[in-house]
Order: sequence, then C-alpha cells, then structure tokens
Amino acid sequence: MFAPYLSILVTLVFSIILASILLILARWVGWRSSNSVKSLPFECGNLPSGEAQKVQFSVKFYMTALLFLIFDMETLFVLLWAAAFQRLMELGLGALVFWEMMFFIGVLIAGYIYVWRRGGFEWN
Amino acid sequence: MDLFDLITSIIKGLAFPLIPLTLVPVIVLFERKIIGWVQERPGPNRVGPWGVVQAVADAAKLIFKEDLRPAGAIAFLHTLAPALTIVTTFLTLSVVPFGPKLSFEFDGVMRTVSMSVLDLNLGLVFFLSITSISIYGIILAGWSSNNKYSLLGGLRSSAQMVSYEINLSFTLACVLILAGSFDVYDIVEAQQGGFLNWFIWRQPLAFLLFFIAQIAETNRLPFDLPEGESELTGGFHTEYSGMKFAMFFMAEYISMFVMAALVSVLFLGGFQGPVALPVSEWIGGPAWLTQALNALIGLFWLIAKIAGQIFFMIWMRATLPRLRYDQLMSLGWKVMFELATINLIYTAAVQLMFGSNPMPLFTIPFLGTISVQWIVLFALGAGVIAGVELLTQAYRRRTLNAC
Repeated sequence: MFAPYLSILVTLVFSIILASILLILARWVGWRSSNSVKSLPFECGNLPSGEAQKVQFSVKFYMTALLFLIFDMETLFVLLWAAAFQRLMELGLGALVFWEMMFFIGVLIAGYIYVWRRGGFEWN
Repeated sequence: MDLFDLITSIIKGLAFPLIPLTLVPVIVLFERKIIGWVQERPGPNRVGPWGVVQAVADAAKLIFKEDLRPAGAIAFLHTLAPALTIVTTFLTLSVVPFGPKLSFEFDGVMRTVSMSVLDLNLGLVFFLSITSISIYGIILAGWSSNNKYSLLGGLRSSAQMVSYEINLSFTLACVLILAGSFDVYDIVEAQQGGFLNWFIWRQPLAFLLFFIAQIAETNRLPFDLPEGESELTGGFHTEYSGMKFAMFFMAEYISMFVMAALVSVLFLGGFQGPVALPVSEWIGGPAWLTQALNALIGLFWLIAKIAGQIFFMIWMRATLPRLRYDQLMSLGWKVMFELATINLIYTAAVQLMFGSNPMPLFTIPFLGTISVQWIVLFALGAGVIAGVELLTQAYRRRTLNAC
C-alpha cells in the first residue's frame, strides 16, 4: 500500500542529507570572522533603523494571501472536476456536470468582479 | 511491499534527483555564455577551454566563502530556509516521467517500473501541493534575515508566487479535461502518435499562460521582482552568502528544469519524439535491449525539449526588461486569470459538444475548435504589439517635443 511512497521517501532523505552536507560545509569550511559592524544587516551602508521584523508592511499582502486561499480552494475542486469530466461524460452526466461547474465558476466570477470593483487588484 | 519494490524505489529515489543536480552547472554555464553572446562579449572563457569548468570553480569559491549571519537574525529559520527551498525543489521533481515504463521479470512475475520517482495517480496534485510549500522557504528567508530588503523581497515573492499559482492550476485543468487523468503517464499517453497530437496544438492559449506562470513561479526574468537588484539589492537572499546562497541558486535552476519538464509533459508530448519511429524494432535484439533503448530515446527527447525551453528562458532574460510590481500583479490577476477561466470553460464546452477523445485529426470540429483558439491568440499578440508600438510612438513624440 505504501510502496509508491517509498521512492519519494528516499528522495526526501537524499535531499535532506544533501542540504545538511551543504549547510555543514557552509558552517565549517568557510572563513569566519565577525565584529559588531560587519554583522549589521545591509542597509546601503547606513546604520539600520529599527528591527526589520517589526516593520509594518502593506495590508495588500494579507489581501493577496486571503484571495489566494479562496481561489486555491476553488481550484482544487476545478482540478478534480476536470480530471473526472471525461469519465462522467461516458456515464451520460456530461451536460449536468458541465452546467454545475458553470454555476460554480459563475459564483467565482461574481466574487472576482466584486474584488476587482473594490480595488482588490490595484497596486500602487 | 517486497524486495523488488524496495530495490527499485531506492534506485529511482537516488538516480532521478541526480539528473538535474548534475545539469545545474551546465545550465549555469550556458546561461552565462548565451547572455554573453547576446551582449556581444565572450562570456566565461578563462577557466578551462571555452570556460567549461567555470561553474565548478564558482562552486568551489562559494564553499570557501564566509557564511554570514546578520545581527538579530533568527538563527534557526535563517539556516532552515535554504534547506527547505532545496528539499521542496527535489520533491517537485518526483512527478516528472523521464521515459516509458519498464517491465522486469522478478520471481517469475512481470513487474512494471515507472521512470519517475513517484508513480502515483494523483501526481499533479502532489506537484501543486509541494510547489505551495516551496513558498515557505522564500518567505522564511526574507523574514528571518532581519533586513528590510529581504523582508520586502520575501513578501513580494510569496505574493507573486501565490498569484501565479492559481493561473498554473487553471491552465492545468484544461489539460486534465483533455487527458482525463492526474497521472503524468496517462497525460503523455493521450499525446501519442507524432507531434500533431501534442496538446500545444489544441491548447495554445493554455500553453502560453502556463509558460508565463511557470516563469513567474521560478522567479525568473522578466518576473524576478523579488530579486530586483536595482531596488531590493538582492531580495530575499540579500543576507545570504557562500553555500547558503548557492543553495537558493541551485534550487532556482533545478526548479527551472522541473518546470520545463512539466511543460514538456503537459503540452509537448513528454518523452515522446516528434515522429513515432519504431527505432527499437529496427534494431531488434532481446527485450531488455529494446526497453533500454526506448528508455534512452525517451530521456533524450525529454532533455532535448527541456533544453529548448531553458534556452528560451535564458533568451527572455537577456532580452526583456523587468516588469513593475503593479504591472506584474495586474497581469496575473486581471489578464491571465480571466484568460485561463475563459479557456477552461471553452475547453469543457468543446469537450462536451464534440465528445470523444482523442479527437480525430483534421475533421471539421477539430479544425474549428483549434482555429478559434489560434485566432484568439493571434489577435491577442497583435493587440499587444500594436499597443506597445502606439505607446512607444507617443512616448517618442513627447520626448521629441520636449527637445
């Protein structure tokens, strides 16, 4: 039952070992010297102002993440429908399934138009 | 699970990731050479004849570089991010079929082995999910570096990748309707019998959208906003040096390879040649020889298609200027999403009306449905070219008047 997944496990272990070797090389082979000025984060030569992790960034990125979540969930449904479409057509359910998906995409498009009109896709 | 599964799994899991890993230096050398030629300079030509050892020399240099970590960086995440990126890139490789399935006799039973790491009937869903995880590597790298440029680069990169992933999935759905399966082998099989059966002819728009979306997914030019040197100094890998930077670099080139392989599988017939030639039958010989020959021919065609696409990507990098960020996001959400949705509805409607697949070649419905797509594509191309031309003319007139 798990036989198909064994090879992906081998690849996973292989890539983790490779990544660890590279990280160990980076840690132990390279020249190391440090002082307080050298280890400052790069900010075009100026002293960095404040912590980067406390910077407030645009709320648009949250919006994009939310939109992605919504559309990606719908994408999964569309993908499964697309893969099963021919088999459903053979069963004589083609028209029904097609119009169901048109209704679903219609709802999606309605939401899409709403987001567009509210300026969800505007970046400036 | 028996001994056969164990042996083949270990061989597959180790051998296939090595193909792109060994090709990375070759791709890097070709990229630098081609960009050199485009810009009328020789490119790397000092290390070894024709610069062939340049990539190896670069790798050796990067190993001996100092591994910097800025003050205030989150040490664990800063180390984890490149590892996560490279591991997920290797996992996306697992769906690519490198050749036709092989069959062996083991313990008196015939067993088949696929030439991809993962032989799963939900292969493409696995691919999409792993692609989503690979965004974490970049956003963690950006956030843990304690650098504002890195943070902005990581945020931009993740926003861009999620936006184009939706287009990727929607165009993928068009191919799934034609092939009727998530299994990459079924998709390749649906394109059997010469290059006229490749899905690029039936889905030119989907091919174009998928190609653009995959370039945006791999953060290549003209979509390399996350690394835009002129504004973000290096994006999410500003604070990475030495081997950790090399890991991001390797991951980018491996993901280029994987994406090109996926485009080949979905639209260009995968490991099949442009003309179905029974080469192995001409040579004859025992069954294992035929199989080995078929596998090698399949590998050759897949690598040839990947090489062609990678050349095209490098050419684009050498030719096109970088987009502005708002242009990038509106291209993804406003233009490509609409086109992908329309194409999906169109494909499903054609499939519903004209039924059977594969559609017989050169019949009225076949030519009709295909010509509609090509006309739309040419109209779009002509519109874009005319728009650019008008804009440049207006710009020239204005600058001339200003003089």
